[in-house]
Amino acid sequence: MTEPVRVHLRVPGTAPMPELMALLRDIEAAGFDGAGILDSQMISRDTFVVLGQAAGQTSRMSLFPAVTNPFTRHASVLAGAIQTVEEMAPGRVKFVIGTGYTSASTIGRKPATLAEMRACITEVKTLLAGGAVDWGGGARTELAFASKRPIPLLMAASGPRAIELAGEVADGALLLVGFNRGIVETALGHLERGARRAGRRLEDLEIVWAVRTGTAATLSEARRLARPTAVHWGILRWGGQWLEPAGLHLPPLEIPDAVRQIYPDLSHAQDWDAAIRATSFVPDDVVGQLCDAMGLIGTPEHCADRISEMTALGVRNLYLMPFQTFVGPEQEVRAFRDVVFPRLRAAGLR
Amino acid sequence: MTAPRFGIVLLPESLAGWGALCREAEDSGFDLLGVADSQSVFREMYVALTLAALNTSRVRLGPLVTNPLTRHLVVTASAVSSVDEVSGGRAILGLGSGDSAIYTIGAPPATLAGLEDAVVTLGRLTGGEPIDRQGRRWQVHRSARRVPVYLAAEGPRTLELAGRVADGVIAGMGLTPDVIRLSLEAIERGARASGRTLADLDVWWFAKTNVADTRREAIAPITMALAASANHAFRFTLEGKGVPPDLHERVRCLQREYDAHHHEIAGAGNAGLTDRWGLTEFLVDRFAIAGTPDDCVAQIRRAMSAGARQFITTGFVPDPRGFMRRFMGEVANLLRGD
Repeated sequence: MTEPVRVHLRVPGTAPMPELMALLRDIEAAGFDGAGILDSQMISRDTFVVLGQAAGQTSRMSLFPAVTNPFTRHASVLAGAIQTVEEMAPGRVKFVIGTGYTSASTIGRKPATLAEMRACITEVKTLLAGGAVDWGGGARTELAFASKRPIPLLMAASGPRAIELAGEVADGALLLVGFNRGIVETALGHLERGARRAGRRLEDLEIVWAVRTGTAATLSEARRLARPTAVHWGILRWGGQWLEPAGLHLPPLEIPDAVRQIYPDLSHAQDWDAAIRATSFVPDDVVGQLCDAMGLIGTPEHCADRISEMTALGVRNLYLMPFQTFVGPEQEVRAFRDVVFPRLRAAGLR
Repeated sequence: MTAPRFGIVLLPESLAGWGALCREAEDSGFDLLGVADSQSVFREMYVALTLAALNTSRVRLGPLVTNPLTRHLVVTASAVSSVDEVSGGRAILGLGSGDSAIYTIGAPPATLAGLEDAVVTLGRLTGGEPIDRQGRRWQVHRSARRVPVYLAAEGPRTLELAGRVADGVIAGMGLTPDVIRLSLEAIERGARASGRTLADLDVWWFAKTNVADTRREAIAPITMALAASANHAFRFTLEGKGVPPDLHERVRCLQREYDAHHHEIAGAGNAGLTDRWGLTEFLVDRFAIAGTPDDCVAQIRRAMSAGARQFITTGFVPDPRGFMRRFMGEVANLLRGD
């Protein structure tokens, strides 16, 4: 058998804690390889509170904050917190850090610079390895309880320079770029360039593909539900630099004000129906093209086939990001448990 | 006189057996359970608090204390609200200007203005109120209840601030009757400034504690905790804090040698400082409830005579379980008839 496809799932801490814990148990029972707990302090329960509790509620799957950032907690707090969770779930924890998205925008700051990312990743890595960090002002600190067991430190990255930095300084990358051949090949090129700067190869890195996911009974319904995310990615150009490698050619469209008034933004909307309505200015065929380029959007069977196709490019590790932040991922849990995982098994990929 | 109430601060030095330790604190009769926050020394405080909440059912619990610097205020609000949810509405939020948590990373402690902003902002955020700042609306959407904010205060100005803006006070200037009276006056001044009275505030007195068969045996294991008090309570100034002038220089010497990396760790580098600078007796009298059960009772009664009613003890001893059993079983029991 070829190397199996591992599948992790994003879990926003937006439901009451007992429901969240039941969901995490269901995710593990459904066969997922891991769960990433959203870290966005304004809209989600505290990621480390959820992770700490989840450690005792699960026994096999990996757990990670998805994704934390270098500015809402000091690097020493981040290192101590992830080490604490790892102590409760030995060998099952990853640390995933990015430049901050809603965690930055909701407090009125810009995402972290790449220099901040480099510094924070280096500091957390040093502390987890039992080393001392010099914070300036004569303060030099170790993490007193560093276990020194390896905790993979992944950098979440969407842009070329960030991906290169991930390849250079992190143990791996969580790539939120899109999910078609052109995008995957281009992203791997950037990652490899970064890896080379540190004298490493792609094979030395843990590569996780963050994939926007939405399943439904029909392709057209899945695409309709994916509209806010697709439009945010392709028309508001959150994923702008990936449209060309994806081979997309989109017509010019005027963006109405209603789109920018969605809280906290189109792709994290609290009122998903309102967000879908706000995207009515984008024709169906354009949404269809965007959906195919950016993620796994369609029937469960369609998604299983797409995953199988992508393994030809070496894709082996997925992080599913169901669209809606304020609705749990129960639908995807069922779809993967009942259809996608059995199909991947049949194809020798699980 | 009403019988005193007791809380305890525990250090999450390990999470093995931590839940059981917290349950035992509750079963022993403590009314408040605090978890220390020092990210390079102890396990993540919010994870430890989550486990504490899952393993108890009655005791109020929270950080004792966190600071406004190592986590963004919205993260603190979100995290303590998450703990409040897990505990079924039992969380409190203890806040201070920062001790080892900030000194180990070379950051300056919060200013009075910073503390005031943090207390007010955290109360509003956990209460679900929006705050407009930096061009954005801060709002923690998932809070069910406003979590009461307790300010740790070790001098007249911070005590007054606590009286003015906080829901509760962790009073740390000392336990001698004159210092308690000074502290209460300051808290009351603040309370009046915001149209409240002393009775509107939940005041707890922070004590470095231990109980043993002899006074000497009780004090020896907590000298590092007494050194921490001398380092922290007098770090900005010694003025207005009722410290005899002839001790000022010795306190300064102790502070220069204090190592924040060994903060509150039994037997570590700071333990010898109080004897070296001849401050042990002064610090015990000022900050401790420590000795035989009868010694402890006498110290508590003395503090109560000046108006203290609720005490936060410290489980910073090699055997916190033994301490909890003995303190609540013997000391608190002797005071029950008061």
